[in-house]
Amino acid sequence: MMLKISNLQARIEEKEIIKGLNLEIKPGETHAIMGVNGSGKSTLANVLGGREEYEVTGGSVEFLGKDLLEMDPEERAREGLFLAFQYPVELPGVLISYFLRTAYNAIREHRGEAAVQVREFNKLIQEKSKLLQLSPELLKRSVNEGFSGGEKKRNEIFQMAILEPKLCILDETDSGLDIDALQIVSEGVNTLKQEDPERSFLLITHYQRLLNYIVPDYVHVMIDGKIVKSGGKELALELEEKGYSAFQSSSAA
Amino acid sequence: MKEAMSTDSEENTIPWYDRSIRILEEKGGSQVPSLLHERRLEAQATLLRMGLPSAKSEDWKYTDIRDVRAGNFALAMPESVSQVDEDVRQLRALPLDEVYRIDTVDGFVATHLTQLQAALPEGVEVVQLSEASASQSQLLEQYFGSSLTITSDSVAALNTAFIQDGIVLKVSKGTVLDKPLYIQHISSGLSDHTASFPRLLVVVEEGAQASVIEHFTAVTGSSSFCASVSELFVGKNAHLSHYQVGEDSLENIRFSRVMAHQEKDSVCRMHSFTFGGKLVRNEVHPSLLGQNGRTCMYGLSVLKHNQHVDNHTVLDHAVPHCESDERYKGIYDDRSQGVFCGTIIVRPDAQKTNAIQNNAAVVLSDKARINAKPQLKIWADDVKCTHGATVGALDMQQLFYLRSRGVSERDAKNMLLRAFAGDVTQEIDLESLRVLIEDRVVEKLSL
Repeated sequence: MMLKISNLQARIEEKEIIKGLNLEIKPGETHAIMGVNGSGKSTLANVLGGREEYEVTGGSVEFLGKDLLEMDPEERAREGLFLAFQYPVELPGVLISYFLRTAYNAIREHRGEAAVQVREFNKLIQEKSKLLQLSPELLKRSVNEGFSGGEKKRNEIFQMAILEPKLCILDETDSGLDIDALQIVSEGVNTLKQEDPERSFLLITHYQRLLNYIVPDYVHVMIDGKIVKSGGKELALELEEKGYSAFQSSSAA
Repeated sequence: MKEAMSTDSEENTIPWYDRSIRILEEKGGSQVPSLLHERRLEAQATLLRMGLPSAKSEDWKYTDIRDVRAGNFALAMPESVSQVDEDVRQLRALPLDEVYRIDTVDGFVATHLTQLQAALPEGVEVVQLSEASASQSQLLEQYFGSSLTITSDSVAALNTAFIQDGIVLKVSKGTVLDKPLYIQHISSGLSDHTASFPRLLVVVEEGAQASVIEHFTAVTGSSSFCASVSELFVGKNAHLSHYQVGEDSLENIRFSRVMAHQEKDSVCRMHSFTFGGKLVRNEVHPSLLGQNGRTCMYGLSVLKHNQHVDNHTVLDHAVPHCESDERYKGIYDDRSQGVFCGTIIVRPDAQKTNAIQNNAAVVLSDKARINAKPQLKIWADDVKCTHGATVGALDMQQLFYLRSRGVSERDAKNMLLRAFAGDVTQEIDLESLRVLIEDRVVEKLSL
């Protein structure tokens, strides 16, 4: 079992956002969680990532059989979890290559593998940057500094390609992207899917559009902090047709 | 511009002044050229009249100098030099290869300057103040002390009152000093509470270029006091880079005043780095006196424990069409304190001035304290002056981003702090010095 969330409850600043969420993701599966703003879907992503501002008040999360909520953010990454942010932050003065190499080596060390040297790592960067159509010039800069919205999202997937996580959580990766950028990002994700059939994905999104490009195995509808309905990829189309209010009265899955 | 100094008679009786003045009197005026002796006497009189600034003085509001006033300081003597071995001096020095190096011990020149002079390119002269002969008297007459206003500059008055030695560097018209002049000022700590007064005069003539590094270090941790003055004269179309690196012992108190007078078309880059010292006050006062001049002032302080730094800058745009860029940053941990008072004066005729000032501080603990006071005094109406000041902790979003990729909290903090400091260290033109300073930042921070 890749990820097992049981009756998760979480809040921020005294406000309850997640109110008993259950979800199981097996290795190799791609799941999509769809919900409106305020449904708690981004909170879920942040709680899984380990942001301290969010307080877990109940339930549990197991990642590859281990207690995820006990781990620091860096431990979660080293165990193989990757969170692609909705609004990636800029890090002026921190070079992309230096940052990624440090992260890469930290993860390798955790796995008991040897660290790679600068040259070898730079070759890896060259290779993967082609996948996301990021120019080598861009990679000599500071992390996300001066990047357009689309470039930032592509940079998230680029990092995913380098760090080779086991579970990839994409938090509204499609928001703010035009068709071209969406295609590039999706191709990147699909390549990562093919590369490792055991790799799992959790796509968090508002609109169905992304799911035309990255086809999910399971779709879950999230309303008011809970998953109210789960189904196959057709559920996304049904949601698109009927709207979220049609699912409002369903009881929790 | 005169600042009010204390005239409270109680504060004027500073025992160590009287004692030190008497010691110099006994030695007579023979150790220094007569001009210096005169200036020394003038400064002593001013000092006795004015005393040291009190906390009521606006310019010294955030920096408590009671320890200096009350301290039981003993004037350093030339004998200090022989007490500190070449080996010891070497140990403390910055490992810079391609430089001309001079060591001073408690303000007294320890290196044989005649040997150094032989190695310098034609057109470059280095002279020891106490040995300045008749041939240099014209230079001294013209420049020595001419950038200072003793009656309103306490640090200048202190230094001039007790001057016994110093260094003069002259780079003649059109000459390029091929390697930086690196001056290591070591505090001997031979006896507790030694007071030393290093002095530097740099004259870069028309079209000439030079770099000078002043590095403050100490042999032991005993507490000493240092008041240094550096006067920099940058001629027409000349270029001077000046670096001050403060690695004083954690018990030392140092006041340093750096003055710069720039003529037209000149460039002066002034850098200040503070890592050591219990209480350090860096005064940087450049004046743009000729059109099309450019002044850059870069400062970085990295403090821990109970350290206190007071960065006090006054930049004078006295004439039109000049540019300036000021960037002062600080990283403060534990109970350390940082003060930044940055004044930019734009005089009525200084039209088309383009001045930028930026001050930023990162606090790493609850108890660190910052005082920032940017002041723009603008009298001309066709100018561009921007300034910004920020104080904050490390950005939580940025920290989380790094950690979410597997970087440890410690490494993530270091990465962000290096990036923060990098803004200032990137301006160091000398590659070898830049690497050294960046390493020092990381070492000092090592969380």
